[in-house]
Amino acid sequence: MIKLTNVSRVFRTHDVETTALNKINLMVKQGDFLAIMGPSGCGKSTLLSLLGMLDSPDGGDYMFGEQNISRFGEGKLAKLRSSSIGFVFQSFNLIDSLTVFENVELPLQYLKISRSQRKQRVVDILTKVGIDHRADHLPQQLSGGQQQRVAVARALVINPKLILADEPTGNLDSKNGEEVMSMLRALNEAGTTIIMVTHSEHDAKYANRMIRLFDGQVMLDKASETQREVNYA
Amino acid sequence: MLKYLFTNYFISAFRSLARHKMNLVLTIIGLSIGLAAALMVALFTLNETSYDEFQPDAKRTYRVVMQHIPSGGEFPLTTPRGYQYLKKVHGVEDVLNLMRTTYLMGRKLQIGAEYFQLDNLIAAPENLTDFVSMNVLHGHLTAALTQPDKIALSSSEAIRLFGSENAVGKTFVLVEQNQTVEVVAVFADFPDNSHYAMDSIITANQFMQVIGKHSHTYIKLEQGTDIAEVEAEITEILNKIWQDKSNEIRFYLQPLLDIHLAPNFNTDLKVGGSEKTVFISIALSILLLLISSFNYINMSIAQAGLRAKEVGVRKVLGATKFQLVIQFLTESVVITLISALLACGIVELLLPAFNQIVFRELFIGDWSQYIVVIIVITLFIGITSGLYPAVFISSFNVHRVLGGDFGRGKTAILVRKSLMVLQSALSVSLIIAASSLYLQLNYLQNLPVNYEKDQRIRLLDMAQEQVYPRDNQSFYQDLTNIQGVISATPTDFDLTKSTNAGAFVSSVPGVADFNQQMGFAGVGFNAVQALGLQLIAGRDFSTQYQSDWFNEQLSTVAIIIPESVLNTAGYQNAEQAIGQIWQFGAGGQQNLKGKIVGVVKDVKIGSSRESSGPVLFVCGLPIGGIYSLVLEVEDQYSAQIKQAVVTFVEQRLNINAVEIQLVKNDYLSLYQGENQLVKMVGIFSGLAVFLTCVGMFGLAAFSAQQRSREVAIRKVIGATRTSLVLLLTSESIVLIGLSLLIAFPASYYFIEQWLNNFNDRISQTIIIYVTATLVVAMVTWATVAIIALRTASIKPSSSLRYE
Repeated sequence: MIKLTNVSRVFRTHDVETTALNKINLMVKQGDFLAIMGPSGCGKSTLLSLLGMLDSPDGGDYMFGEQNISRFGEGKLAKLRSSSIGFVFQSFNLIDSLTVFENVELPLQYLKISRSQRKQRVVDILTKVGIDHRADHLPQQLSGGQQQRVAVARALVINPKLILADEPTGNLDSKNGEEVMSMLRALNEAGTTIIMVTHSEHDAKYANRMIRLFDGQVMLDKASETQREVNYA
Repeated sequence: MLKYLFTNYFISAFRSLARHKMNLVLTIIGLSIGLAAALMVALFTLNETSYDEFQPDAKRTYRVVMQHIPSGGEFPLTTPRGYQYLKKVHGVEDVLNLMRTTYLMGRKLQIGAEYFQLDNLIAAPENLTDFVSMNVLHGHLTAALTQPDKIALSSSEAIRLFGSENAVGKTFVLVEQNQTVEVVAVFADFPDNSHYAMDSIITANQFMQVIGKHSHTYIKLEQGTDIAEVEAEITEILNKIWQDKSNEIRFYLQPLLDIHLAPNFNTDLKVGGSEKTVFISIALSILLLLISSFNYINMSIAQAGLRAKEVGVRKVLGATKFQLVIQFLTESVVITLISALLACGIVELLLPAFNQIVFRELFIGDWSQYIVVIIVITLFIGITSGLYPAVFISSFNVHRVLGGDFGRGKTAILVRKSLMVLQSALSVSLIIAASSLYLQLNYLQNLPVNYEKDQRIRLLDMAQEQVYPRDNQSFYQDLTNIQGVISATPTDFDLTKSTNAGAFVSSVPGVADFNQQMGFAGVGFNAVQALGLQLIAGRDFSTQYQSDWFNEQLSTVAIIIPESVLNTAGYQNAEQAIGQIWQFGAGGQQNLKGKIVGVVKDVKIGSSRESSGPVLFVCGLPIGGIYSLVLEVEDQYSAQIKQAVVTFVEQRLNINAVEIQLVKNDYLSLYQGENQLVKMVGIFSGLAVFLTCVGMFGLAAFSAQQRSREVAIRKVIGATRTSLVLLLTSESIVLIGLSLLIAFPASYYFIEQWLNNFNDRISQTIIIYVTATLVVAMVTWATVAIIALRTASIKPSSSLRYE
């Protein structure tokens, strides 16, 4: 579904040039659950931004499905992104002035879906993640775990082809973290492709594939041990 | 330790200010404009209120002013013949008579082959310098004050006549009197801040017994004298001399120091100031200062959240709340001091321009006199503006701040929105108020005068017998036969300045008690035509009706009355008045029978500052004392016509050096003072509006920036740039709409109250209100839109990167 060929991204501030990604090659198949790991500053977030069409590569090609989107303008990227990709961030990134319902409804509004349809889909997804009883609350009134569930709901409501998660359990305690990871695994088993950036070896085990980045380059690319074990079971 | 702490505060202040450059620049601009304006107005006010303070015994000196009790009309000139009686009044230490020479003698002079006219020639007695502080540059003043053929000149007058300042010993010939006069002294030009104004001085001795009110009379009282008693005695004396038994005239003593700012008289030595202008200037500058301070407070509170983290960290490290308050106060004081410095620079640069507007010569010779006061005021402003934000910021709860919770809560959003509503309400109200003020003043300026200023020329200084010829109308016939001259009439007054005499109407048929003092306008045939009066009933004075002209034997004369007295005289409409006979007295004539032949719209005499009373036009009876010829011409700028007229008049009347003036120019120069005020109000209001828009701008920019994170999130989720711009701008429009709920009713009420103080006033229109709203809305909308656009164009990855 996704193919990165020799992708590079260089940041220039004043006189300093930082090569965040150095000729990355990566292939992600439909249904994969990929964990991207690596120390701080290795380029994980940059890679995620690129994959998520929030940024464009300076060199190389990005094939999404049948399309080479590496030279797509911001507008085109935005259109594609908003209908195909759901995001889950470490700090939730909910909009403080909107209720839970309104937050989850937002992507559908931008996709110009009718009011009644929106209502139905939002209610469904809120029930699915188990946060429907808080539909009229504001984000500040929820706990961390609840906020992340809302974020997941928001990511899911568009029926995305791909979910990108950046340290999804980073701001959560272990119990809530477990809940979120289980939810992601369940989604993957139902067919959603997930790419996740994480520090946590524990979380990485939920994935079926793992790559390690170091200084902008892929060091290791292997399916996780668990997956292997399952295959051979 | 303390010193280190303060150094730390200063460094911190500078660095933090430098980081938020835009806000810093905006605040400093606002504050320095407010301070500069305040400083200039302060200079102006100090100058205006200090007039004549340096005169000898200024506090014990008074001017004698005549008052017509029933109408309240006042006149600042009296007869000089009261001198020896006034001196004997108990409590009077000295009396000064300054005589206007305008009606007493010819002032044309000849030097070599050139002719000049002496303007501002005053006849003064020997004790002049006991009342008026003078700086004699050359020669000795005394001879000019005692001998008949000697004169003292001001330095600029000496230069005008003789080309050099030291003109002592030089002579000229007074043309009319054929008298040689010698210059015996030259004195420094009178300073700006004195109501006295003289360019040349001769002795008053020859005029002390003239009949008529020609003297500015000043009295110096001994310490502790009862003013009311003196006034009563003076009233008795002067009424006896003038043989006025009506008990309607009294004289009062006006303190010297009050003269400049008191209402002006047209016969004043020079155009005075106005209390109104001083008050308005003070109010405006305070307003500017308030707006700047308010802007500053607003911005500081809005940005409080930015400093939250720093506050939290400092508290953790051991700072007490008090120390934090001091730290932030240091910042505001630093900002205010910088603004003050800038303000001083602005004043140096703009003071000349300001002088043009207020018609004064203000200057700052030595800054060191003002430095202390400026610093004290600056500190005061810095501390009061900075106090609330400082306390507000220092109270941040550490836990919430460091936990990252601060700035996102409902309170923060509420504060931000409320500030925006307040700022918007203030801006809208201010624009409405400023526009209304300007429009009202402008309206007063342009009230219809009901006489014609255009295509009118005046020949000045005519002899009474020559221009009020009983039987010699051929002069006027030939005059109007000149190519380009349409009509002509003599006048005994100047429409653009004042009437010179009053008419006391004693009897109107059918009205028991007609107590209206009216101005007396002695004119001739064709007055309505020549002066361009607006006739609403009846006819003009005309040669077809010879009985119009004043008949001394029968005491009959034709009169034209103004519209405003129709009511008091009991007439239902103008036509009813035609043919009625009124009895009145004017000048030395009593019991005149005036037949009404016409009714005109009230003429507005002089500037809009003086409330002009109604004017009675009388045909063929000259009383005013100064006579001119007013001509209606085809082209007021035609040199040909003027030349033809001058030649004709000079030949026919056997006079030379006839002076011609455009009525239009007279009118404009009178309004110079008014124009200045309107200009000043316009500029200050414009500044105030600018400042509030700056405040709006800062706040709007800040609000937009605060939402940049939300903008990034929405962008990730799929928002287009347009939808983001719309989102942010619509919030601001809604807030502005809310502010109108406060601004409109408040503005309407207060402005209505103010406007009701005027007899002539504009009515408030919806246009001003709508325009004000549009201006504020557009500034805000544009600001928010630009910033929203900028924020929405940043790649979402960058904004979300740093959390």
